Amino acid sequence: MTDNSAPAILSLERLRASLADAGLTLDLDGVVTQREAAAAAVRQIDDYIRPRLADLDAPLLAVVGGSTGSGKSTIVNALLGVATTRAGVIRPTTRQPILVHAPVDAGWFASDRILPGLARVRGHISAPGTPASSAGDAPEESRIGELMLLEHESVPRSLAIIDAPDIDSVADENRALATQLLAAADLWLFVTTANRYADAVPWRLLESAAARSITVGIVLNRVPPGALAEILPDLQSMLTDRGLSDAPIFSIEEQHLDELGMLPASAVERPREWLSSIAGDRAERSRIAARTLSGAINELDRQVVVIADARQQQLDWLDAARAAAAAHYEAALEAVDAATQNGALMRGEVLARWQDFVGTSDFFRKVDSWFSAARDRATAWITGKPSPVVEVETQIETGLQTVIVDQAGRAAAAAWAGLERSAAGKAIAERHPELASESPELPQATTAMIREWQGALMQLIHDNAGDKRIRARILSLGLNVVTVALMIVVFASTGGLTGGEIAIAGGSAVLGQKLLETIFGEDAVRRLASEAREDLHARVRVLFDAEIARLSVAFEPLRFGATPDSLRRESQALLDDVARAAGDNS
Amino acid sequence: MSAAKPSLDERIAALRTVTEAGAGRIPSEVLDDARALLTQTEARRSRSPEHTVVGVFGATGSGKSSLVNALVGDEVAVAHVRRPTTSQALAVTWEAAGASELLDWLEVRERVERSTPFDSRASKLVLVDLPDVDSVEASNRAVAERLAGQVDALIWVVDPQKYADDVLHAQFIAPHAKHAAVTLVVLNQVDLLSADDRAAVAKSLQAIVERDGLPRARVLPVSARTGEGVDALRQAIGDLAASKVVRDARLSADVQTIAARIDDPGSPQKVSAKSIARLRDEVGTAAGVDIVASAVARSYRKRSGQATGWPLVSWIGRLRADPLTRLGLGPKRRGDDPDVHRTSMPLLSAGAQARMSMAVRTFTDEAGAGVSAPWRAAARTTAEQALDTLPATLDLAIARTPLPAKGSWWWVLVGIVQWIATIAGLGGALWLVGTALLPTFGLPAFPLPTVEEGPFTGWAIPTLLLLAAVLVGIVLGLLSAALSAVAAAGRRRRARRRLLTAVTEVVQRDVVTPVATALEQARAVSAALQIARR
Repeated sequence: MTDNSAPAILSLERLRASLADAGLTLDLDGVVTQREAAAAAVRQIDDYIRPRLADLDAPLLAVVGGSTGSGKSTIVNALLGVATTRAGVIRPTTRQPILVHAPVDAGWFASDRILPGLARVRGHISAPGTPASSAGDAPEESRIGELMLLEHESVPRSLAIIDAPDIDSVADENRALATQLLAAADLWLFVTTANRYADAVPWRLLESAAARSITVGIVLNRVPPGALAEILPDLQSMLTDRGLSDAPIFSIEEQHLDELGMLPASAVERPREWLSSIAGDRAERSRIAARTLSGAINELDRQVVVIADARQQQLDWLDAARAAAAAHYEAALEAVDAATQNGALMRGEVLARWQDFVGTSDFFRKVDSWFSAARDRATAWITGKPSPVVEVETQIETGLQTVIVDQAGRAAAAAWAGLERSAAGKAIAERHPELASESPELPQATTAMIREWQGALMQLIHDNAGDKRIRARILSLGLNVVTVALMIVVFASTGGLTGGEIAIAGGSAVLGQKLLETIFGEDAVRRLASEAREDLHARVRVLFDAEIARLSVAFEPLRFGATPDSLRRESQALLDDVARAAGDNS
Repeated sequence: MSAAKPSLDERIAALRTVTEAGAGRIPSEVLDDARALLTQTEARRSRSPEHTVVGVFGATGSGKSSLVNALVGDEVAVAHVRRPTTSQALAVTWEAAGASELLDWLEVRERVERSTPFDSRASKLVLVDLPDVDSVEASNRAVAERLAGQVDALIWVVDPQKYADDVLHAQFIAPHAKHAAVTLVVLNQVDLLSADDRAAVAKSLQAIVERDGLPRARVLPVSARTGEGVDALRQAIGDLAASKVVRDARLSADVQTIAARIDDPGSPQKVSAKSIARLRDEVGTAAGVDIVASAVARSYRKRSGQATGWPLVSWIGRLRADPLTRLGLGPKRRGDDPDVHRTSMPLLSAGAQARMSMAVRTFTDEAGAGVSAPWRAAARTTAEQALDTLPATLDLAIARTPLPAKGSWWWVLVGIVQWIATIAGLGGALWLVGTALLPTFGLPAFPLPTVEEGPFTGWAIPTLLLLAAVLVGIVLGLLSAALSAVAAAGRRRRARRRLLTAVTEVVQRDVVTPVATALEQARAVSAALQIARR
């Protein structure tokens, strides 16, 4: 068996690692259940599947589980014929789980091959004659993580009995531990009462037992005299409805306990026989263990599919959130494009000065412009104030910078507001308040970008100044004047840049255009302007991409973890390996 | 917190304020529940307010039906060993007149009427036996859940086996923790316990109920089978029914519970004067306050130059357009209605608009610092709406602002002197030219009169006249230029101040007030929530 199961154990370890790293960090709808499912799957591997896969012939574990107040402890005491665990009227009763085994099986249960998460404590059986109300230790919350081991010769070989905490009381840790113990068991002795047999909570657990093909025996405790005839068929039909028609029902009448708080041994005769017959038959034990193991692995596969889907959902959410944020920046880029067209950026008084500077054909205005230009140059020389060209350049630069930073700020705020609308996004938003606005470095980065773009414009002009005549003309005007003229043409034109549209866009652009056309020729100006525009668009996109990348800081850690595909693949591999091992065995 | 508990009417009014002012800000599922509660409150108060409806809730097998039978003193409800037993709610009504509408609203179809009074103090009572809360029959639970939200008083029935069940405590008793005043906890089937166990179990149950959030709830040990404790329970129900406030207490607790589910939006801090000043400056600059102020100064200097400069060159200034006129704000504007004509100030450039938008966004974020995210987002939406109309409104405000565009009185004086000097200079020049040209036409030369004494002895008077006129013209021009530079600076400051005042008004009306109003709603909701929760 060990040789056959080696590949299965390897697959199991791989799947366990992936499940432990399922990465369900986002607070999406239903994530609490999904996280619990992932944690339960890991525990199920540790507590049951791994040890059972390693050794199918190891002793069986029978869990006595059920509702609070159903009499689990009393039944365990009756089965053993001695008060081992405390029974009483105060609910919830059992806190620390107790495992009773035959003395020969001590080695197996003392190791942490099964239930590795629980510390082992060796207990002692109370002296004969101890009443059940004071047997064992008093319930203590801090000892919930311990498993008390007891030896008793009345327990059949190769079958241990666990007295589990209740499954439905107000004590959360009891419920969690009971679920864990039931998941680790090969067979269940499920205790309910005449009052309780229609409760919803136990039936949910029994349904999960049916799903995992666990062998179940039902103890119907505390049946009022005469009520059995009516209850039994009802219970039987409920079991049949849920696929548990094979489960034997052991009914126990409501009766007074003896002075030690014990049920008479006769009351539990049938369940004891049932357990002994299973323990005494090696083939039957093996069959039960194999059935439960394959049921557990199949159920694990179903859970893995659910977890993989949940994981996929998380990754999809991150993609969608990122795409939504990117869409806001895409809109911002469009807004920047719109603001850098049709002269929107240049409506301003300073532009009138540019008009004065570049001049018109009107004689008087020419005189005046010559006069004012000379005066401006003189004042610039004396006072250090900038000339109109520099002023125009500065105005366009600051305008462009403000537009870009504002749009980035709007996009960031919109993306943030989008995050705030969902619970998962809200958690991210709270952890990263800086994402609510543009990055603090953006204004500087934008200024630098505009400088670089202007540098690229100058280079473009330089590269296009092929012959000597053009170079001389540029030199006479000044490279910066030509650059500003080109900027104005870029910002005044619409994207398509046809002659008619430029005329509409306004006089100043026409001036710039005429100036450039006299230097380069009409077609070249058109080409230069569209190249410059595309260059600017690309550079703004780079800036905005850097802004979007800030989201990665918030999002990427949430992506860490196993992929949905690897989860599904590893689970399938485990199923295949187990099937192959079973095939080799037969 | 020191004030007395608010009345039900106050609570309902507060919750109504919250639902009205909080629409769109409070998550819709909570808001829907709050609205449903308001409707339900209305419904309950309009239906037989003198009847007290007491619901008996519990797990399957805890003996609810047996208990109801014991209380009524007759077999009205079917008790059985098969689980679950009761799947329909059953109402037992004392003094049934007027109660049928109430029972219709409760959707309880199985009804039993009793003629003997339940209790001498409380004659009008409806006792409802409900289906279980924990069985496999989900429909039973649904009926119990619905009626737990409607009855006036709640009796939770538990038994020694089930008293610590999570379903009942976590999903029914704890969510109704605010209803402590109208809640009774009954430990049924105490006949199954010994006398010692009875006290221990009751104490343990008391502790669990306390953890559910009902520290003062009474636990009544009862046995429906032996009749033990039934009288005490009947007495307790009588107390509830006799006190007139039970129904209001229940509804009050409902309002408290729903109010606790609504996030407190928090109260905004007062908007700081510094924030407003920064907003005004930024918006003003973006709207062109500096451009207009500087145009005022330049216009003054230009006109001053035209009026007081040396007439031989000052005419060149006339060729240049007046900076104010170019903005459509010149002196010629007088008589126009600024309401109709916008200035020909350039439309706000994209850069200026962006600057305005950044300033408004910063301001809104500062103003909304104290309130929760949905309310901040609402304030931002308000501000963004204001941004759409802000440029046009500002333009109008600037056009309406009276600017210091008139000339100065001294221009006329200086102008007269300049013209006299110019005429005198021209006279001198003509004289000189004439004297020089006379011999050419064969006319006798007049000797030029010369100065006889003083520092200019020997200079010809026309020459002096010409030189003096040029000197006076230039010096006076320069002096006037200096003077007008000072005066222009003053006008620039005045214009800036007036324009900023106009901008402040617009910003206050279109941005600060709407944003503050939107945020004040958060304060109102916060205050109303405090009342509804208390």
